[in-house]
Amino acid sequence: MAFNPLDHEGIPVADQFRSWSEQNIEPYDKRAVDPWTRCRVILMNGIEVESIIFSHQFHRHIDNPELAEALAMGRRADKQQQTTINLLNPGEQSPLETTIGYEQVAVDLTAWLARNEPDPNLKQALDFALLEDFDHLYRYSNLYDLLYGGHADELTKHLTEITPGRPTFLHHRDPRDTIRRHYETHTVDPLSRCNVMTITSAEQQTMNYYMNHQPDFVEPIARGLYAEISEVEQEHVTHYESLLDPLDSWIAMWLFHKYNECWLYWSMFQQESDNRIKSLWELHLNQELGQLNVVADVMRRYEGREAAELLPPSLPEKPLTFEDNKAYVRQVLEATVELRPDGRGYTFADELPDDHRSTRYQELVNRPSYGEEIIEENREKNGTEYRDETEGPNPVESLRAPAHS
Amino acid sequence: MPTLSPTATDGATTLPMEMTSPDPVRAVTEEQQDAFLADSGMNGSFLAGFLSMTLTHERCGVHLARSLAERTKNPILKARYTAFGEKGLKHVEVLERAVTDLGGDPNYVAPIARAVEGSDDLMLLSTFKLNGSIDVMTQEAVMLDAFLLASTRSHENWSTLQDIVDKLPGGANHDTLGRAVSSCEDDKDEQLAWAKDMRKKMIEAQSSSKSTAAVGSKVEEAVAKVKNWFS
Repeated sequence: MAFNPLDHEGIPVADQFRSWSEQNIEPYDKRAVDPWTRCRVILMNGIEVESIIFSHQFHRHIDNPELAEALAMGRRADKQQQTTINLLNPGEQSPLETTIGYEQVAVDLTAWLARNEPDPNLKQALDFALLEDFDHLYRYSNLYDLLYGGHADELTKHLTEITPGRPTFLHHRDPRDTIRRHYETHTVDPLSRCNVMTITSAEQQTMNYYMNHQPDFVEPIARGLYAEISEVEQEHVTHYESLLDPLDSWIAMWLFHKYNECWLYWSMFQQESDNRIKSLWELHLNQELGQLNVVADVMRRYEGREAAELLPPSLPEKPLTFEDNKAYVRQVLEATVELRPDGRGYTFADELPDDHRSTRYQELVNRPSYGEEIIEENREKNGTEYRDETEGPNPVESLRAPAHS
Repeated sequence: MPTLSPTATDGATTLPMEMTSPDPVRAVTEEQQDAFLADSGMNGSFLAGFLSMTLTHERCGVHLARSLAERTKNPILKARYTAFGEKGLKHVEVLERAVTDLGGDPNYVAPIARAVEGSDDLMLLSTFKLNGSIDVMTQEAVMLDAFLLASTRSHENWSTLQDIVDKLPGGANHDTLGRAVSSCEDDKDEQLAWAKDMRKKMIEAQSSSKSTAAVGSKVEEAVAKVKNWFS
């Protein structure tokens, strides 16, 4: 049934604040948890972080007490949501294990969005970065094996394959080659807007997580890998945020943030297998409905327009879903592993000039590529690299494990 | 009901530009726009863009008037902003119908319309962005200034449309656009004259009242003073 968030009052923002004990929620069991639940937790934490950061930025650009108060109220509610969600992650889940969870999110979120993206230009942007996050999962899984003898499939439960994507040493590029062309705000499909806002938030959270956790490690190779991949995540944030149309007003952007959060909590609620966490998604959905109504009132008062002018009559019919994307990822990998960004667009590697600015950038930074060293060291230590190829050998011959070549 | 914020749901279209990459199903080409009023001897793409820009400014004008009516503390200003918002809605409707009758798309958002929307958004933002550091009377002045600026641009747009009508060869298109202009131009004259006149009166009211913006003056007193302006 169509769900129009504007038809629901939700919980008034003033009634959304909760005690420390309500926020300090019992974490999930890292061994027993459904990996898709971990993915949902990681995603929604990133969504709330983006909401909070956006609200802070808006506040810094406005000197209006009424608006500042409305922003502060909503921001505090979002902060409590973020804390509650993030504390679902258990303390015994190490930063590297959480990192593997982040990359599983990146792969299966991006793949689902790409599969459901109506705009071919946006779909290409998603497909392009998908192969890079897919490769990060493989590199971090090998680091996990190398440092701790850990097997990433115990975390991913074989729901996501672990095998090389576009190799990480090829991800680094001249910053100017990370900027894409944007959708147009009047003509964009409402689902596309949600897709882009969601992936931008998720990649931003990944960037922040890696930037903050890279010093957690003693081993230089681990620190180096985080340095290398956190820069790629920063590229991905640029890549995705440049898809957003900057024409939207601050209040319109605020409205779109809240609308997207309603869609996402509604989606998480539909599919959550853990009843305790499902009730949290439901609570947060009702809170976001309350916040959306506040922004609709602000828009009416300050911009003279109705939220319904900008929002579609209902949420996208299909909930954003964490599910098996193995066949899709394999298909994209096989078809586009050699794709490279070139200015605002893409081209195949063999069509790029040898002295392309991004090639020169790679030569500068890859001294060495820790992503390559991880694999070599793991092979030396364990006699083989770590992979979890549930559907057969890598579809790209040059990326197959030595035994399969 | 006229459309105030064209979206994909309304069938909005646009022209791809250096950084704008619309969904191909919602993109139009320069060649398609060139075909607009092809037998007029004028630049069809420019005319389509100009009409789109004018329509966008009228739509933004309705939003501005509604927003000011919502926020002004003065009942006379509130009544006038409300009335101008209602008339603005009629002007949007007239222009949408004219564009359709001319063979165009009222939900086409030209690059120049995007530029105007950007500047109109900033003008609207200026009416509340600094409320915390200006007094109630200055807030009223800032709102009226925005209305005057928007009315001036609107007046110039409709005046230019009349120039375009004069250049169009006689026939259905000439008559369609001519009727649209003549049904709105008096309203535009009245709106601009009112905004100019009201600005003068507001400055007079402020210059003749004591401590309009004094630090420590009570907000309630200032609001009461604003309420009684022009009465």
